[in-house]
Amino acid sequence: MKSFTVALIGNPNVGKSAIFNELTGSSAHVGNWPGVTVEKKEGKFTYLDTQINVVDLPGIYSLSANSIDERIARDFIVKEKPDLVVCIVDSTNLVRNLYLFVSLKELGVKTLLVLNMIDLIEDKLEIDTTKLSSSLKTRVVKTSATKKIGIGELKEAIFDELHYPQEELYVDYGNDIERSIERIKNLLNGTNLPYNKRFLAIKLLEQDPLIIQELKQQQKENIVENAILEINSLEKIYPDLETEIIEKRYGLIEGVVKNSTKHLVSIEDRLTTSDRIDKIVTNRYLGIPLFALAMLIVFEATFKLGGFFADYIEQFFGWAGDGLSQYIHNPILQSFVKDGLIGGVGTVIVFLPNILILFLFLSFLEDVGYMARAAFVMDRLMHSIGLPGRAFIPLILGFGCNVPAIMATRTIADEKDRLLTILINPFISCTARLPIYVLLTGIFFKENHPGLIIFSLYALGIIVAILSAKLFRSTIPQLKGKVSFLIMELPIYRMPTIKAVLLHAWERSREFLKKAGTIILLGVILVWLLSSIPFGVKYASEQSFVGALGKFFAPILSPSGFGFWQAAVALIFGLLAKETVVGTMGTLFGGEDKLSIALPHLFSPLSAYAFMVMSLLYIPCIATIGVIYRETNSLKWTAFSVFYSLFIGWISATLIYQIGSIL
Amino acid sequence: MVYLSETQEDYLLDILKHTTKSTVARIKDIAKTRNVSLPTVVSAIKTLAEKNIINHEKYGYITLTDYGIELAKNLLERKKNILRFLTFTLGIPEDIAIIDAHKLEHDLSKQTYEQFIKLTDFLAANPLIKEQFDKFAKREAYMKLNEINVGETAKIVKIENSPIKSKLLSMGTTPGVQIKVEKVAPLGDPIEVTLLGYHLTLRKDEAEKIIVER
Ligand SMILES: Nc1nc2c(ncn2[C@@H]2O[C@H](COP(=O)(O)OP(=O)(O)O)[C@@H](O)[C@H]2O)c(=O)[nH]1
Ligand SMILES: [Mg+2]
Repeated sequence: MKSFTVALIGNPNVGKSAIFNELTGSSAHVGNWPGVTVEKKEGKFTYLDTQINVVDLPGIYSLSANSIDERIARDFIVKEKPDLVVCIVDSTNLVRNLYLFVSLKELGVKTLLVLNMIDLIEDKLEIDTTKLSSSLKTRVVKTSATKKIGIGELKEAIFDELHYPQEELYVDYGNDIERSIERIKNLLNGTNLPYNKRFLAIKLLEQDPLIIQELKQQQKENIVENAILEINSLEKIYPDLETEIIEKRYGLIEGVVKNSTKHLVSIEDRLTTSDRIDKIVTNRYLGIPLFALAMLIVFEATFKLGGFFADYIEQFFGWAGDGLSQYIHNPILQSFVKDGLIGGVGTVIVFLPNILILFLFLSFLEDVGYMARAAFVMDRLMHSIGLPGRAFIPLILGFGCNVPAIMATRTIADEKDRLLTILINPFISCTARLPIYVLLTGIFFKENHPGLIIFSLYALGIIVAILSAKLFRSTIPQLKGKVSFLIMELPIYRMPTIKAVLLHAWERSREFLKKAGTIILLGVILVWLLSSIPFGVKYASEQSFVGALGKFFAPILSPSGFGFWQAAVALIFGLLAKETVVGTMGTLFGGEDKLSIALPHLFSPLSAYAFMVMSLLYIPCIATIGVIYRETNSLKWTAFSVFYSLFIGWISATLIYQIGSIL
Repeated sequence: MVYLSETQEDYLLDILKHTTKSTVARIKDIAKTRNVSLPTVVSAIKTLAEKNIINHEKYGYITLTDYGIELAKNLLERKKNILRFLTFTLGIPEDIAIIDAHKLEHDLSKQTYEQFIKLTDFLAANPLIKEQFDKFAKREAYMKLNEINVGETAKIVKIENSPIKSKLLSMGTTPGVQIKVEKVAPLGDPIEVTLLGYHLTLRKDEAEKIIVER
């Protein structure tokens, strides 16, 4: 069977995902672009005898190389050379949307123009596709992805265009600039960069950093220098050459749009419904309360409703472990199945309700257009701590559970900002840490403001997160610099389809299961192994390997005030999930009810507090480590997160214990 | 040329207006247009008549002498020229120019006045220079987008060099585009604007890079 590759491209929020889903059905495969955390979606469909592979490129506004998204899209187009680039535009906003299309044509690729959201302009704007098609030198298809209009025609058009050549589209930059373009083009004849020569020449005049770099790598500095000379002489006529070039493109687009469209009602009309909603949603006084309310609903649903299901899942796995082990007589195998395998699978599955519910809400809010408003409302606050507005939601979710919280960082557009938000998230105190605080404050601070003690731990988590963000921003080269710029479109409000929301939530859950799940399962089995060898010893006892590890770590923990092996073992088990610290201590001291008698012999109130600080900060649990790996797509950053938090946890606990002892 | 006080000049122009309409002016008409009492008009008329500018005939009829006609026409011409100087040469909006012209008309020396005219004529004959000057003069009127009030619309003039320039340009904030400031976020930053029929949000320190004119 013949096969072709087609790339989908478009501005954010034009309905690219919706079109992708309509085209590829359920064949989609989600991954990452190599080396970065940007999501890559691939799928396919068959038309007649031809298999057409579809790649979803990131949503972007131009083909300059300013952001990672733009670079990925451009690199894919010029290096992987898809057979056709399908550019999807929002029919309600042709002028700005067509800018990307014109850039594509300049790149010299074969294109197909899709006017999506055609349902929204009905009775409002008439678009003459024949005129548009002939002035933009491309085939034009009208669609509505949500109303399923024009999808068949789109498939047919894709198939047809694959087999026909296409005329090029030239933007006329005026005599002076055109002459410079010609001269640079001539110089480029000896090079073998995969771009169209005219595109290269224009980008050189725009001083595109990536292209300059590529030319330098080929020892073609002379071309770059010549381009600079051209720029200098052009700037005598056009003091602002870059603006002039972009203006020329917009000039062409405005002309084309004016010629091929007819407004049936005034443009203000299409904004009103959305504007009316925004009068309330981003209102001076109501904006923040409404955001808080939305967050409250998402939080409660995710963790209360999700927790309800999670409890049943936990019970089920406990029951399944017990049930199955009845049939296994080898004690080691029995323990492996119960604590390692089923326990491990349970640890993974238990997050599913949270993740599924959270992403049902988040994808709904994103598709409706609210997430952009949330960022608008919260940007100022987050900006003051060195993070973008969109980082607020993942941080708040961290109070529930860091796993879905870290998964929610994907709405942050800038790679640096996203990485930073991921790395500080584990310091936000999740609900799994609460049992530790409750147990220890119950024993040691019963008469001494237990509420305040717990509150101080939450506050400490936030402070450490903020300070770490500042520290990373100023020291780590990959994270250095200011918060990325905002400059963001506020899309008009739209009703998403249930299907799209469900699909997205399912995709995220599946990713979690596949990528993070494997790591979590392996981690749980590793802890099981450490607690069981040498085989024959009592599980996690003083004689087991984990017991030995506990004894090894105890001296290191003694400056923090809890230098005994049981504390170290409890902390190691805390890796599985932080609440396990309590359970482990229970097991080690012969039952959780015995703790209130046993612990005061080992802890003072001060060292108990230091231990809580340690539990708060010391290491993300296995599931969190799993999603950090999944989201950063990098072992290096995952390891960094683990070691940095170990260090911060130990240092904070030690400082508190030592200073407290002096006071 | 005789010296006339400000009020006398005004009377003269009024009389000119009336006489061009109906060849004669009547004292009571003038009193009506100027909204003053009859005796005031009578005393002013008397002075003008003494200067041989008008003929004061019986029954309250007034006509201009030839000398008076010439004087009034000069005065009118001067008024027009000064107004033209203010609106055309200096680019002052008409409503302000009328008030300022009134202040200048009476007190300007002949020399200054003549230079005003020469400059105006020169610029009218050299449109390129006029254009250059206009651009130069307007620079003062340029503002940064973050200085525009909520609800106001401005026209983009240029984007200042900065790392966000190419992003802004590719999103359509090119010179000549109308941009309206819609609102400020609850915490005071960022702002929301509309352009090319879509909504955009950006921080104030980003909006600072967009130069606009109102
Ligand atoms: N009315 C209408 N809404 C659409 C259409 N296509 C997509 N949408 C909605 O637009 C929003 C953004 O769509 P999405 O596919 O996520 O856009 P992307 O950011 O380009 O991937 C969602 O709420 C969709 O339901 C369409 O043709 N008509
Ligand atoms: Mg999408």
